[in-house]
Amino acid sequence: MKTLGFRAGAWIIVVALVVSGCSGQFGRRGSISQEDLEGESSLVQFEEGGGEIVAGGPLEDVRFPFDSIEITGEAMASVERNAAWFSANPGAKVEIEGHCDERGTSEYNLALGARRARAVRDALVSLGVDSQALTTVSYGEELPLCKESTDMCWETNRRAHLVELGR
Amino acid sequence: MGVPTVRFVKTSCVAAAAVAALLWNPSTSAAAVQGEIAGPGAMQTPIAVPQLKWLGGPKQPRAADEFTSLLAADLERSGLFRLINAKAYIEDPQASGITRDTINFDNWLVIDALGLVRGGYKSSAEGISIEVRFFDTATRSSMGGSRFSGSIKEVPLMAHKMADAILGFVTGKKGPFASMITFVSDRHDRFREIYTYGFDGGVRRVTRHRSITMAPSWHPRGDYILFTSFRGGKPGLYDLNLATSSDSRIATKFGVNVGGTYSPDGRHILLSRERGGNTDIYVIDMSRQKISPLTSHWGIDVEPAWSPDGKRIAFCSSRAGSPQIYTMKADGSDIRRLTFEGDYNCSPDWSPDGRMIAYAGREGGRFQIFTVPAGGGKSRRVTGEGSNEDPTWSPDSRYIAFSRRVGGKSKIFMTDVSGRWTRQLTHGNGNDRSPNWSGRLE
Repeated sequence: MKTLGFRAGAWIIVVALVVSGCSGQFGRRGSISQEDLEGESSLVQFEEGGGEIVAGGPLEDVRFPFDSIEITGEAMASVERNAAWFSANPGAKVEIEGHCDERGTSEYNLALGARRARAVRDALVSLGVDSQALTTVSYGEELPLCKESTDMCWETNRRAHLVELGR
Repeated sequence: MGVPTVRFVKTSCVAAAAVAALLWNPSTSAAAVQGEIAGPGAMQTPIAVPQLKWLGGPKQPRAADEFTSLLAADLERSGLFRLINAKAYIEDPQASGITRDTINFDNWLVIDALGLVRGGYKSSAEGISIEVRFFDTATRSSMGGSRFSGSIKEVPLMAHKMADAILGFVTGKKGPFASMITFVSDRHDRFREIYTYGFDGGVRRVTRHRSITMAPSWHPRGDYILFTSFRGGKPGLYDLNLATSSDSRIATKFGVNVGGTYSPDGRHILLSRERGGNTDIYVIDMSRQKISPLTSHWGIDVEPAWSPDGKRIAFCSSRAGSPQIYTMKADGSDIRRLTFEGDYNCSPDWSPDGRMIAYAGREGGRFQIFTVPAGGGKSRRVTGEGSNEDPTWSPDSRYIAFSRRVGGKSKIFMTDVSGRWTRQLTHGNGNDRSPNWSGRLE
């Protein structure tokens, strides 16, 4: 267990969504037990973890509007908190995964996910993170956190997910 | 093919009414009949498809029944015909004749069969020989016939070829059923693997990557399927040999590649390639093992599709701010925008006759299939129900297969270009997506 820190905000909701299968209430705060999952690539989780993708790891997901790579106010705050994590964890190598919601074509979304990952990479670099510490990959719409066709699920799925690969 | 069609129309009052209703633009001129074919589903001509008559050699009742039932299913699926219940048949198909002079057409007219599919088979140690003709019962004339010889194993393909031929006799354009559809599905487990669908109804799994696979696409010969797989962590292109069910990574030296598609001559592969976050369209010359960029733009350029003559390429690009359909010459020059309505138009597929491009467009929050003339013009919506993506043309350019979300799951459907006649092709568990229709199989 871990103290709920600045990171809790966005991804506690994601955990709540996953735990409740995305169908329940939005985060009954306080009643949720939070487990610090190992940061693991979404593809590895999918291939080896029974197909369930779980949010986790020390870094915060960055959210995007539909068919957009724009890092808006709230998303920029996530990027800034992630940048602060890099200062506290020198030498960490991180892979940035770009993800999309299910709407639109698989191939377009793969390209869009690549641009989202790149946009977050560029934003982190502009905040002083060493570009050598960052790699990017896109999974398009293929690895959704949340599997229902609802606005709330789609919002959860449009994300850049950051995974610590090692030091 | 125009001649028997004209005879059918001109000389039979009953049949003429049915065929006129089938035609977009009812007309008795040969040119109109050949060019503009029928609108499936508008009205179906009632036909009878009795059992094949045994004509000699060892009896093969199972193969004969399989042939008849697959042929009947294809004809019904075409949307052009309505099958008359076999219980209404007056003649014993094993006793009556199979040629114009030996058929008693009154026995078929009296049960309202305007068309009669009549044939027989001979078998031997080498295999089976099947001949079938399509008769206009009102004029008591044959509109055409075909004979097939081969092994018992090839009977299903013979049935599909016969159905395609009958569509040709009636409309001037052969049908599409001697073909396969490949698609992506998670029907067996959580992984996304490549499958094939045949019009016998059979679904076959052809990969075991235990990962994410995407965007399968047929080699023009129909013996290989090109697809993208995340096996190994990053997307790469794989080529699957259907005869041996083995696949291997290709174009490895060209890095992360997605959505490859063979040129009509099989010598080039179009694909999307991401570099530094931006995705552009490239072409690989397979014999020279050389890759060249075709687009170079800050927008997303994806989903390249060849024109049937290989001279132009349709693709989806966000260069104007939202994804839209464009075409360009095969060398990347002369880029023309095709779609202007809506804020999301992607997944172009060029019809095999070269005339139209089908695509998926967003309308009212859902995706629908549209067609647009390949040279530019007005878009037409084909689907209306559910959310529909990934259009792919049938080899006769008469139908479009696509994935439709129904009840939270995606399944493969086909529709005729008018959108009036729609059939669900895949059923069962899981999501079936990204269909790609082969050419006619030989």
